Amino acid sequence: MSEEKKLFVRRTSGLTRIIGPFAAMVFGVHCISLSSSGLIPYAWVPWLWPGCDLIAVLTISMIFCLFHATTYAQIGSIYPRSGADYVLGSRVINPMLQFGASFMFTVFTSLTAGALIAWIPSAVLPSFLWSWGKIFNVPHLLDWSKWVSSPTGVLVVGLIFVVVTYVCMIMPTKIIVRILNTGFFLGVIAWVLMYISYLMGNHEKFVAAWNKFAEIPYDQVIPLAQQHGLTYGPTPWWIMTLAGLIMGFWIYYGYYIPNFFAGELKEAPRTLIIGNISSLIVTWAIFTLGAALMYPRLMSLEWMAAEGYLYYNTDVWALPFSTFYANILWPHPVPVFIIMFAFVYTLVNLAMTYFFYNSRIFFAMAFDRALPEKIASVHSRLASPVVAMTLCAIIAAVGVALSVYTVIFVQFNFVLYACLVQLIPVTAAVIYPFVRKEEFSRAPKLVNFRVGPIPGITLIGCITLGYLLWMITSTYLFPAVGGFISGLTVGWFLSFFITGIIIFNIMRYYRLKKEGMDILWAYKEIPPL
Amino acid sequence: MVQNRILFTTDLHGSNICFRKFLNAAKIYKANTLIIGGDITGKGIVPIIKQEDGSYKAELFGVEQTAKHEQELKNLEEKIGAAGFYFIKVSKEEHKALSTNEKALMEAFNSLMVQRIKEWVALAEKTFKNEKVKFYMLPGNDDIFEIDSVINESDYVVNPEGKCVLIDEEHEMISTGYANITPWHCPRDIPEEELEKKIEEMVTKIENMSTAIFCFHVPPYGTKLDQAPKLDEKLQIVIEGGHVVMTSAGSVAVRKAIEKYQPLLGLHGHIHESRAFDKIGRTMCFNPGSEYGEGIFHGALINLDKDKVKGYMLMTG
Repeated sequence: MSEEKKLFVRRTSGLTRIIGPFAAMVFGVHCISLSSSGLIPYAWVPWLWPGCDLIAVLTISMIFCLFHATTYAQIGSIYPRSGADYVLGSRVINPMLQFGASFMFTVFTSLTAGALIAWIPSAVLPSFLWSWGKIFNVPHLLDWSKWVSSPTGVLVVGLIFVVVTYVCMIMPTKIIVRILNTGFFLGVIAWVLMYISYLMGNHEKFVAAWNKFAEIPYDQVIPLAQQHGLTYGPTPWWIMTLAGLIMGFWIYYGYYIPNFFAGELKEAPRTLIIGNISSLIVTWAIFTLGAALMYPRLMSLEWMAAEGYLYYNTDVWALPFSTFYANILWPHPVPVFIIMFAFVYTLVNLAMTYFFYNSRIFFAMAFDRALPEKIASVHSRLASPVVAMTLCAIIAAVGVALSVYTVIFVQFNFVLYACLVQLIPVTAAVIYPFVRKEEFSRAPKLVNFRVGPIPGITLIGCITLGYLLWMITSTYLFPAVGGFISGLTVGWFLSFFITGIIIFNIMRYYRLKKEGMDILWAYKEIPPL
Repeated sequence: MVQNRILFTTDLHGSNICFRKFLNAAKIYKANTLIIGGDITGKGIVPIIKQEDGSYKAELFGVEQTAKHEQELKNLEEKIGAAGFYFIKVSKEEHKALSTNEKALMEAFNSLMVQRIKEWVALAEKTFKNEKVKFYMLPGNDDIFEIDSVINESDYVVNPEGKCVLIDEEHEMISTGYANITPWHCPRDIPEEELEKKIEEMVTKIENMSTAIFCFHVPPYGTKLDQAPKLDEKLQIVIEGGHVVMTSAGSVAVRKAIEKYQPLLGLHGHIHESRAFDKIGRTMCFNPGSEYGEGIFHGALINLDKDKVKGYMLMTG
């Protein structure tokens, strides 16, 4: 049939809207974050799992995330619309349950966006100001480093960055994409400069640089950490596997976000699968190369574990950040400035992606009329969902304040929250071929392929579901891995979830009474006559 | 008490499954007035080619389909129809001949389009004729003129093109499927001035503008209803900085008319990807969008009171 015409077409109108695979990958990379996730693994992994192999953790977690990334690409391909997983779960499982879960998730991650923005003054800026102060001998910068990470400093600078992020996000999508693309290239340049810094050094050079710029001499770091309670030993393989599973969410969380704006993607199935997987692989490559150049060339993992331990558990001065190591190895103003600027810029990019996808989920809910329709309104000149974005910014500002003045985020377990919420759409994906047979038969190839007699979406969905369930279980079994879960953690989760369900029912009652419309109709499947 | 519940859909482009879902949605949601707002005919013919061994082969969405016996062939035909395509069963020689004969191909198109509209009209009559449900089927800019007579022949389904019809005691509706010129130069593409003239002619027939409905296939320019990818002179999508440039593809004449006369409701389609509602002054405008190719039904359910839109919902199924 190859030389024959497969379809005769006539001249008619009609096209589909588009964000391409590259832009989707950039969104994913920024949500994973070249800055925060560029700092987390090096500081947290050796500290949380003393004795583990960082490269193995990065690789194992990436492999598990590939299944999850594929499931989410399939979800977005079934209903390529804003908030695609909300759309699927609400249509296939239950609208009220899915609304409650998505509402909880959106409020929670909008708060988290604030906490991430607070990272700029609490972690990124102090590290750079300290480097600059020491490298260029400017005592004021050392004072600023301390002020900026004080509660007042974090609040003031954090709120400024919330406003900066908000202003960026109410711009037309075209401009947002440009800002993110710039951040991507800037981030890559910063990492290349960091690689060069690491390559310029060796262990002796690193020790000398450390002793010149740090407050605690290199040789005293491990004994000091041990005095404060650090124990170090080889990590069993199963802990490694657990670490990989959980770290997948800590480090790589974000590769699947194009799913939330699937309605704006070009050829959704192709863009989603390329975007999700490439963002995962690109960040894996960047972080793994960083790890390979650092350990054990510059320092041992045990030393890094001690640094992380001191930073997170004691008041002893410590800076367990990959950026700081690069700066002290190559203390030249140009690379130091570029790395600092890129890390702050990409941290804003990270918050932007949170704002972007959360606003789309709010938009999808309002489009179903389960939230006030104002939230679904799009500004005529900016072509941006300004009201939904404002809502995200307000919640993020609250998140900044909460992260400064409360220990509330200690009660939030990100992995637990994200996994619980995803149970509904992933279950929907698993059962989709059986409960929506007719739709499934016409679904894109990415969705309706089979592995033997089993639908691919069910098979991959089951692996993803197992992955989610195991992570939920392991956060209980191994609190050190995912974060401690208290009654309050569950209480917060339930309060958000129940608030969502109450809002859904209030809106349903209101629409029925005032407009004669039952919003449940919007979620119903209509079989052909 | 709701005075009238409208179920509006558009741009079905020949999709049997979307049409049947539309009929069923009308039953499920107890709509009183059913409106299809244009572009009802399909865009392509899938040749089902008979093979030497007696089986049939076709390609749908890039996937080769084989039918070895009658039932499989019937399933394949249904699958093609569900996606909005037509099919012709041909031998390899006939297929080759058709590939090079533009006139024969257009005749095949016309005949298949007319046939499907006949089937749809018959199904609508069978389903709703004896109920108190009004049914309007408006041809759009993509539709050939031959289908008008098929709709006009029905004593139940109304072709509202160019008319002012009373959908209930209170609400008049004027309709047109003509659109401003598109890059594809479709059968009912006309210049803005001509479209404006057509609208002005229809407007004179309306008695009460505050309760009137404008059912114009093309949406008003510069709204959320008319955002489409920008095309270059080769009809390729314009991409800048890795991002598709979106532009307004609606009609200035339609916008002008809505701004000037401020009817109660605007029902539109044309731009499949611009599923949205928007307000121009007091006029609530809808474009339910279309995913006919995926067999996904899009509609707008609208509760009308005398001079207000009491409630509305964009639905998908």
